[in-house]
Amino acid sequence: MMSWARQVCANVGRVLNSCVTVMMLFGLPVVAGASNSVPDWVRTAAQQTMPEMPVSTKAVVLLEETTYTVDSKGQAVEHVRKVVKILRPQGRNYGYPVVYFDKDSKILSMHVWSIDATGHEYAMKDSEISDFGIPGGSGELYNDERARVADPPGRDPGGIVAYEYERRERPYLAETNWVFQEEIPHLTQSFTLVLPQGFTYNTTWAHHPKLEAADLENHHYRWDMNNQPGIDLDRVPMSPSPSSLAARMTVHYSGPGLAVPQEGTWKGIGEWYDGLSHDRTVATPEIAAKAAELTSGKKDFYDKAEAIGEFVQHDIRYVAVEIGVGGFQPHSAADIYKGRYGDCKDKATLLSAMLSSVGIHGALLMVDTQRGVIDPDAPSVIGNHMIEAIEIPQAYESPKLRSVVIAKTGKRYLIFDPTWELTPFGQLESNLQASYGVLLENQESQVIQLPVLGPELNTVTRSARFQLSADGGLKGSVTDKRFGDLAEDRRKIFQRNTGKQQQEFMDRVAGQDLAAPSLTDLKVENVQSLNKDLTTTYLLSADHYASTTGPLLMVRPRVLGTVWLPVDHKPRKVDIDLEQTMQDTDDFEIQLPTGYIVDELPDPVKVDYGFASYESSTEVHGQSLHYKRVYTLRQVTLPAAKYPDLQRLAGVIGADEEGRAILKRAN
Amino acid sequence: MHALFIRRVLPSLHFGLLVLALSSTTKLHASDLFMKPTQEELAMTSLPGYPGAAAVVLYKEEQTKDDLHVVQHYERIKILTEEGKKYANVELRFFTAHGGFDYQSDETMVGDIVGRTIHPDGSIIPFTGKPYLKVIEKGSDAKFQQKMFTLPDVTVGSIIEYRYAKRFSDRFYEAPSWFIQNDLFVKSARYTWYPTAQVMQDAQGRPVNSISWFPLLPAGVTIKRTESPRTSSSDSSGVLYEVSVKDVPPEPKEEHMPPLENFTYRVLFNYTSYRTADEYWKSEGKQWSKHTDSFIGSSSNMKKAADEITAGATTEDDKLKKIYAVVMSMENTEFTRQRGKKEEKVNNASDVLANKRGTPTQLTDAFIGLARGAGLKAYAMLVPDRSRNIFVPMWLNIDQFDDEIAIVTVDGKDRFFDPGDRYCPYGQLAWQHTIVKGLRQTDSGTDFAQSGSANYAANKTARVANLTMDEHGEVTGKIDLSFLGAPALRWRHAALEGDTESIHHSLEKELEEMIPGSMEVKVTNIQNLDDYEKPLAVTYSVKGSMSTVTGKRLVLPVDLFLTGETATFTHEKRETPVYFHYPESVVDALRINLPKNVSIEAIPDASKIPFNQEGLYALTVESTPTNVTVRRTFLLNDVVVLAKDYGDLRSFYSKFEAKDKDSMVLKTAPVQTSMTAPAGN
Repeated sequence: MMSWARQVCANVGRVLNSCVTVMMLFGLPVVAGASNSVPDWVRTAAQQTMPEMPVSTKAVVLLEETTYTVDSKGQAVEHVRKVVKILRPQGRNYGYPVVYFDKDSKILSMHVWSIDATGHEYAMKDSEISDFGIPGGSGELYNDERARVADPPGRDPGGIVAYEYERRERPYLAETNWVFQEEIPHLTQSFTLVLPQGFTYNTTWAHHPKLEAADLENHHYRWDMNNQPGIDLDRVPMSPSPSSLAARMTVHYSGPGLAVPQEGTWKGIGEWYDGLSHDRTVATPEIAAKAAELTSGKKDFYDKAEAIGEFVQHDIRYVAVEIGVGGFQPHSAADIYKGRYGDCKDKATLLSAMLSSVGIHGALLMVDTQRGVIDPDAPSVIGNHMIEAIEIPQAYESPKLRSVVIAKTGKRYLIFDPTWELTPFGQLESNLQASYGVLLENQESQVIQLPVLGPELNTVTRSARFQLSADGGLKGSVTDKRFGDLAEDRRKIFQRNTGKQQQEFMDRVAGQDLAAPSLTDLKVENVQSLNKDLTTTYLLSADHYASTTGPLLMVRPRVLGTVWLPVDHKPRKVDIDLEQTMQDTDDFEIQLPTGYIVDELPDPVKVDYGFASYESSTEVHGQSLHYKRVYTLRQVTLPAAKYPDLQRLAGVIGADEEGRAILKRAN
Repeated sequence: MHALFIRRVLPSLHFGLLVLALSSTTKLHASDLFMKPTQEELAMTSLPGYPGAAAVVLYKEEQTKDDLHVVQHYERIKILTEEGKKYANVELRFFTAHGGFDYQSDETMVGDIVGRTIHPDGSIIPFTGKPYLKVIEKGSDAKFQQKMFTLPDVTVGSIIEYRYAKRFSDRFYEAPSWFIQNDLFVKSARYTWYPTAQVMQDAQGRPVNSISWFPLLPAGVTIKRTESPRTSSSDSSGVLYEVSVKDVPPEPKEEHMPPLENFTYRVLFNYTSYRTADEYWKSEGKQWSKHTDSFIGSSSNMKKAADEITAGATTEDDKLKKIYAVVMSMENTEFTRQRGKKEEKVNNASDVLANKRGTPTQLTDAFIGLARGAGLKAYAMLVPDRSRNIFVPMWLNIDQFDDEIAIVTVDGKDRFFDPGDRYCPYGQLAWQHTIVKGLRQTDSGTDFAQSGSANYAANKTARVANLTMDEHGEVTGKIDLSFLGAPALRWRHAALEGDTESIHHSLEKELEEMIPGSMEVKVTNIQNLDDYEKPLAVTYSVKGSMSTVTGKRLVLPVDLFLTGETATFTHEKRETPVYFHYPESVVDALRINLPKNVSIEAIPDASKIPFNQEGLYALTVESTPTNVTVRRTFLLNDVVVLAKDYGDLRSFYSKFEAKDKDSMVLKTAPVQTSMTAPAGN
């Protein structure tokens, strides 16, 4: 559902992989002919002495020079020279030169050279370079973005791949982003800005202190950024997204005649976007009529907003069609309503239009689905998703208001994502919580931090009553209730899969905890009612659940449910993404077989690390074993320094989940 | 794999190119193009027998009209759930090529798209948008494109329907392939083909004068052939092939399924120059064999290399082992990167030897060439990769084969070899190539043959832990894993795709996922990674806790390596056979040396669980005052278990997986601490 700022390519690897996949399917033209015309700048870069790097480094960028030249009409051309050295077999993918373009941007030239590990030099012909459409998926019906990709000879460990291109940039932006840190290290790199007379610029920096440019005279400005380490998160569990760590500089420029200066401020971004979207949010009579129908008889602000919000969420199909500026600009509300489909910005636009027709103000809110990518100190158009900020009337109060933000203007907004099909109205999906978004309110545009919702709004509660037989067999009934994001996966299963697939899914769930489960009489309630608990009930039996070991009968009181904290044993360097706040509550009763008594129980557990707590107990009530636990996660991110606490927590939970009650015969 | 069979055929140049056949220019009203929905269709909310089905195909029609060079499609789909709305997005792919010869140029185009959405109340929303044309890949001589559109205002309960036509270049005819069974239930479908009467030739210039087909149809459904008089103004043969089906279930999807993708309901037609299947395979086999022999080259060319390689070897087996070792030492580009023509020439097997690398097929050919050069009888054999598909002789398509293996006569006996799978042991096959039917070279041409098999003993994993527990229950020690056969090959291939650092990491992850997460794992040694004739041996050091602690006891999993194991067969019902990749055995041995303050309280009973004559599970636990030793054996010799035997199989797995969850109970006494400081010395 990411359809917003597709021109921003901070995570080259992700996009590159899609191109590489296509090439694997259809192959590239066979390289023919031979030439040794590798330029001197490639040879010079290739011959430099390599500094010591981590053994896991797959490839390294030896040189990357970007020159961004703006002409007097504001049209920009980007010129790039890049030299990559492949260090390991896994680095071969970094040896595919890839340049993106679309209807409004054009590759003016592209040249590719390579030097294999033995020193043999190659130059590729134009006919050896192919164009690929970027594959869609998940409702992305069409976008016009394409990639020009080469598969150069010598793309092996020890090999060098170099390319140079010139691309005319999209005309409707006065911003460029220099991402000078990616998965692999960069040794030597620079960015040169060339402006025409009368133009000015400013820069904002994300994940890196600001650096002043060297003034090269004649409106030439240059930044050098050498020896940037790579961001290798391949083996880091619970890691933030690479794009949220990658250092970047955003350049905004303006000058006489340039229609849409963005000024390098969030306000400037908002004004620019208002020019693109303002006319698109107009409510037609048909839209107004539908909004009136949906809110008929409703007086309360929340009830009205909920009715319209849920209509756009459920009844407007996610289908992305993006051509040229359509990557940024929504379709008109009228067209979206007529076809009953659109992408994220289309859905937010229609929601604004419908709300406005019933007297509620809604503003578009640009976000990124990867927490931390939008930096409050670095205004730019970077972001990949659009949601809605619904203005709450002054003095209106309701316990239903959950995902609320107060802007600098003092206005309160209810944040809602009409694209996220399974998030209850009034809540916000976990990956957006604690991240920043750009409130697009024309001159009042600003960056806002999205709220972190409480654990009580994202819950799973399992309760079960079982009978244990003397041969170790277990049978009983289970009730599983879920709310919030924790219900999302199962709502998908129960909404979208066949009955057979649903049963198979639940069989697998039971198989995670039981060796020989039989799950029957499966019933599900509230699949479509997002603001109610998704309730699943079923009967469960399992042979040999308790194991007989000598005179003892061993029973695991924690019958179902596993808390998943995938910590490792390595030192932690990057912050921890806990994904979501949540609460997991289990309450299991096991009726013990006649003739057995409890000899020993697992010790109770109670720990609280601030960001999370875990409490569990196993007690004997008469002839029953009673297991209770509550796991509460209160934050969505943690500093790296807290990793030892997280490791300890994972250890405590793991030991508790595997704890055994030990029974023995009464006589 | 050499592509030798081309389904698309050209009109014979001897009879001149065809006159351009135009499609009908008559404009039809939308109501004429689409069927009128019935009240039953409009009111339908679910599919009996398939609860939760996303959608159902109410009707599907595919008409192939050779004289018009067009295939016309019509689909009517009822949307039953939110998930079903995805069928409103339609993507139609096609390929165009511009080669130097007529048969290399292909101007396929998709057009005439019309569609509409019908709401459950009968209201109709016509598709008035435009289809989008996207270039998926554009090279210098070919373009792969896609037309896409989405139908408007689609709701749960809507019927969506659309038509489109795929037009081919006038130079081509293409026999249709009707894939009748897909992911949706089909209530009704009709497929028709009006073949041309034109005399044609294939890409090799052979006259095409027959039609063959491979049918897999539901019971009672047949291909209907009718013939009507030809008109002089038409290129049509007057023949009509037709299949009508009703109530076709969706293709089955289950875990551990055999590769059934070649066995869904379908009819695959061919224009062919052959009259019988036997004739087809003989002729196509002959061409493939000739092409292969041409690449291998004459035995005299390879003799010199073979002589050098086999110097000192006295028996046929020794000679072949030396040849095999040389080929195994070469770079297999399946795991690295295939070089382009600019980087190196590969015109024959001699080039492969000179380059010291090749594709799996090239390496196999080089092996065969060297064997022949050494005076042995050696043959190539085409095989399917049975992880993906199974060969169907009735389907006249040599592209069914994926890979090539070798057969060499050693001491008068044919033996199978897999030199294209680097590090496959001498005389064995990668599991994907075992027990499959293929096409082999013979002294007189080609013939079908069955590849070799392996039993459980050939694919063995052994896991041995020797641990010492301290007085607090923490264990330290050594774990040895060894892999033989298919499991070893998997790891050796993983190593080929990466490097030392990555294989260490992957092997650590492998063990970490088996044992309790609280234990730290480090690979300390890997042996025989390149020595494919020996078991791959990995040694780890481990430390941490493998027990849960109660007030006076330690509870340990009976088999450390199965801590992360989950149930294999959780579903009670089964439609398709269960398919295991290969027979295998897994042997575990675990010894824990105990500290003085810990003693054994209870250990699980020994267990032995058979599965028919093909599987066995055994567990024993032995203890002494100072240690406990666990031995577990699992072996399964079956590759396919029929659905009717699924209950027995599931029972076998459930029993032993429950046994694997047993625990050992240790008693702990308080740690004795010295009351006085040691005297020292």
